[in-house]
Amino acid sequence: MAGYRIISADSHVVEPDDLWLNRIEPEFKDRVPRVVRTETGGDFWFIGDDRFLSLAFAGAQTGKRFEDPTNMSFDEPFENVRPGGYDPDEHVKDMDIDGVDIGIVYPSLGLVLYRIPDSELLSALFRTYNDWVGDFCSANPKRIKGIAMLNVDNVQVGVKELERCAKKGFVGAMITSYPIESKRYYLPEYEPLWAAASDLEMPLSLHAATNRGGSGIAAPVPGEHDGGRAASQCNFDHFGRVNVTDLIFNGVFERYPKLQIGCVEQQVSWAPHLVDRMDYNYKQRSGGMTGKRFKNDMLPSDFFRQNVFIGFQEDALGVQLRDYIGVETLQWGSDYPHEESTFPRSRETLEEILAGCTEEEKALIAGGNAARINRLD
Amino acid sequence: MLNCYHDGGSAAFQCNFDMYVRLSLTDIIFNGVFERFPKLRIGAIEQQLAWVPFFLNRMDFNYEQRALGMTGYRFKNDMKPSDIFHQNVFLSFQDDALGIRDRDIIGVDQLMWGSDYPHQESTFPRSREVLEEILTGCTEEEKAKISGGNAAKLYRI
Repeated sequence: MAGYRIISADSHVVEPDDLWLNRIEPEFKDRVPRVVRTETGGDFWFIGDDRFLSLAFAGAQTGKRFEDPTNMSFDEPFENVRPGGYDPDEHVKDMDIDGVDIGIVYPSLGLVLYRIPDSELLSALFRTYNDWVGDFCSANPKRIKGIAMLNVDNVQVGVKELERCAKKGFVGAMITSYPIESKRYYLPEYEPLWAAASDLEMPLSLHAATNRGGSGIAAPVPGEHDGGRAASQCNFDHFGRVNVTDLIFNGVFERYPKLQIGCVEQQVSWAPHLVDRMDYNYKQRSGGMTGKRFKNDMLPSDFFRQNVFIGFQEDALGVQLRDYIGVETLQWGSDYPHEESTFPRSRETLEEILAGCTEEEKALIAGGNAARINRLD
Repeated sequence: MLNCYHDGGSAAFQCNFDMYVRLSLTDIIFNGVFERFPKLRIGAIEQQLAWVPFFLNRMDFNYEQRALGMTGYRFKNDMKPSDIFHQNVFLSFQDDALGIRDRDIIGVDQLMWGSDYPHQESTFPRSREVLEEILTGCTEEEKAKISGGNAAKLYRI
C-alpha cells in the first residue's frame, strides 16, 4: 500500500487470567474476575457466579471469519487465544504480519466490566488494569499506545485516575458508552471531567459494549430464537448517538472546544443520519434547544466535525458518505485480535474500503487522524 | 454559574427515534417471524430513511460473519436479513433527501412519502415543493412510486 502510516486506533489486549488476582489491592481480592472452564469446554470470565465474557470472542478465533465463518464458536479454551493479546512482543509481531505501524490498545474483558454495580470494585479493577496495560505498552512504547479505563460514577475519582494515567503516557481514556439513565452526560456534574480531559488533551472514547449497568456479551441459548442478541449487536451505535447529541445540545463542546469524544467500534454509516437529524431539530423544531443558539452560527454538525471522532473497521458505505460526516473524524482500527477483526487482512481491507478516497484522505483515515487526536509523533 | 444550555436530553430523544424501530425489526427478522409469515408487512413510520443503509449492513454482517447473530440457524432459500427487510418492511418519511440519495440500498419499493399534516414538523403547506426538491434525482417511475404508488399498493387503494 501507499507511503503513509497505518495506525490501528482500536486494537485490544486480552487480559491474562491472573491479571487482577496478582495485582489488585488486598481488600478486593475475593471479588476479582477469574477464568472458568464450563462443561461445554469453553473458557469464560466470571465474577462470582456471574458470567461476563467468552474467550471465543476475545482472541481465540482471530481471522476465522475469513476462513470458516459458519463454524464460529461460543466455546474456546484460553490456550487458543492469540498470544499477541497478552504478550507485547507477540502483539508487535502480529502488527508486522498485518502491516500496522502503531496499535492503540483497549481491553477485552475490561469492556464488559462496566456492568459491575459495585463502583469501588470497578475503580479498583480499572486502576489495576491501567497499571498492567501501562507495562504492556512500555515493552514497545513506539509501537503500542494505551487507552486508560475510567470509572466516572464519582467524577472526582475518574478525574484523578485520568490525571494519573496522562502522566504515565496513556494517549487517551475510555468512559462508559452509556451511564445509567439518571446520570447521562448532559448533567453539570461531569464538567470537571470535560475540563480535565480538555486541559490534558486526552481524548475520551465511548467503546462498544461498555454500557454502565448494561448487559455483557454472554452466549445466547442456541437454536432458532436468538433472544434479542442480534438486536443488541446490530444497534450498538445508538448509545454513542445519544451521548453525542446530549453533549452537543447541552453546549459541552462550546465550553470545551478542544475536547474530543469518540464513538469507537460502532462503524460509520450511522453518522450522516444523526448529523442530518441534529441540524434539522436544531433549525426547525422547538424540541431541540428552545431559544438557545450556539455562538458564531455553529450548527450541531459543525461541533460533530470539530469534537467527535469515529473508530471503525470496514464500513465502506460510511467512507463513501465521508463528506457528510467530516473526513477528519474517521479513524480506522483493526480490532485485533477479536472475532470481527480485520487481521490478518487489514491492508487489503483498507485498500478496498478507501478505494474512492484521495491519497490525502486515505492517509488521514488510515493513520493521520488518529495521530492528530492522540498526539502521536 | 455554568453557561449550560441543558436541554435535559430532549434533543437526544428527537434525533435518535429510529433506534426503537431498529430494535423491533432486528428482533422480528432474526427470530424468523417473516419467514413464518411471508405476507406480513410491518412499517417504520415517520422515522425518516437515512438510518436504513447502515442498519441493513449491520444485520447482514452479524448474520454472515459473527457467531452471535443466529448460531447455526440459516434462513431458507439463502435469504439474508436485508432480503427479508426488502420483502416485508415499509418506510414512511417526510423530507429526507439523504435517504432518497441512498434509495437503491434502502429499496425504492418500500418508500412512502407522508406530509405529517397537521403536526409541527409537517411539510404542509409546501408538500409539493418539498417532494419536488427531494425527488429531483429520481426517475419518473421512482417519483410515482415514492409519492403515492407504493402506498396505494400496500393499502390496496
